[in-house]
Amino acid sequence: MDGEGPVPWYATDGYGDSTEQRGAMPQRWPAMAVASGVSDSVDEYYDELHSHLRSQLRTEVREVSEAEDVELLRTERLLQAIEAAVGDVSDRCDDLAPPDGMEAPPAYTVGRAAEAALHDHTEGLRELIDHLTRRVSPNLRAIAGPRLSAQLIEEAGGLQRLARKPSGTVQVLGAESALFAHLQGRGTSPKHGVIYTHPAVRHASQADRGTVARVLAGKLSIAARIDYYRGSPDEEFIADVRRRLREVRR
Amino acid sequence: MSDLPVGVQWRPFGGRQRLATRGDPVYGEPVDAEGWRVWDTNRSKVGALLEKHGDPGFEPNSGVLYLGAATGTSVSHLADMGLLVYAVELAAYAAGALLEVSESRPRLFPIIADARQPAGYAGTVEADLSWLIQDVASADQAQIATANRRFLADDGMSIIFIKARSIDATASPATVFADVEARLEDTYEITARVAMDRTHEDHRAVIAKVR
Repeated sequence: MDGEGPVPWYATDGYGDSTEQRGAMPQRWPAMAVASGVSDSVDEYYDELHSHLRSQLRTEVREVSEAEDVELLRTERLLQAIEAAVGDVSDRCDDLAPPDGMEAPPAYTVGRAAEAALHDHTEGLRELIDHLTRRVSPNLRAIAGPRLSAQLIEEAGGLQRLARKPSGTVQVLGAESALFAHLQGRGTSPKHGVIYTHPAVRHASQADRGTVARVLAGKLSIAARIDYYRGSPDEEFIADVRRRLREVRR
Repeated sequence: MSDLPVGVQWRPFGGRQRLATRGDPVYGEPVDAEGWRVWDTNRSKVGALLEKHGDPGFEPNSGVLYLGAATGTSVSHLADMGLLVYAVELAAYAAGALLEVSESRPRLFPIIADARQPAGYAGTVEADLSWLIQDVASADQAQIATANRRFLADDGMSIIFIKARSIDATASPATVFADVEARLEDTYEITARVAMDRTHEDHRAVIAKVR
């Protein structure tokens, strides 16, 4: 019944090759690898298995975050669309608002209800973004918060692209129109793009703001690279960045 | 307090005795001056089992197949104890955490695979292991334990954490436990049962030896 038996991992790219049909009884792989000359010793066999499985895992990490960063980016775009709609609906309602003491027209009531409902949905999407960034970009999230992380990934067009951008580009992501105007000789170069919403930048004095934005952008690009290439939070790095941002704000 | 396996100790942390092993911290747990790190028994069922039941008979260098490794808390402590651990987890999102946990543990082997399909890792996990530890939230827990018997030596042992509500949320836990145990009987001989939750109702560990 045992057919050909399983092919061990060291003869394939992945976890070996076996099926219930052709026989899937495990063997004493360490001894077999040594006997067939694949490994010099059982210890060496285990070291090779360890490094092989960890590189398999690295591929898994990359695949998961690649699929989920697209979901994150699209969720952020949907949230932006709904936020824009909320603002739009709110403005149209203001147009319909009755003068003091007068009764509101029916359209006003409908409009306000729609505004409230849309607003409720933005809460749900913010929670989704919070959840997705925990998995896709834990380091970025720890430094920039969930929403700004999502905006950066959205502006860059994905985590991989963000990870590959120089920090000077990250600094002005979302300020492309000001940047191009500057490059064509109109206006000064922009100090920051979407990272403006980060408290360290927003609370910096006018004079320090450019410096803070540059330092922050540098740390954010490193965070994006750790997220993309490693996928798990680096507590030491995160603590260092928080310390550095406190210093630079003084 | 009952006996503990080699590599696990009761150590004082913040004024009370807690289980600890020696290794790189992985989930923000406290570490003492001699490098012992707390084994958080709220996060790890194996830790809780040691606390409640004592040593099930773990010996250094013996091989473990751990099904349902999740983000690796339990397997990291088992590896610290000098066991050789194959850690199988289905959820691909646990890969990042398992990558971290296995970095400083050369005999912790992480595998992203489905425990219901042991053929998928029979070319990686070796035969004749001493332990099967199973902590999966799945309705076919008895079947998974039976299908993974193939990795155990003839004198191998298994620890199966049964969560009644994952199997049937409507039946009484006692009925669910009896049913799972009956279906294990062909392959395993149950040697101990340990209640894992305070109410003793929902969660049970079954220790069994290969028939």
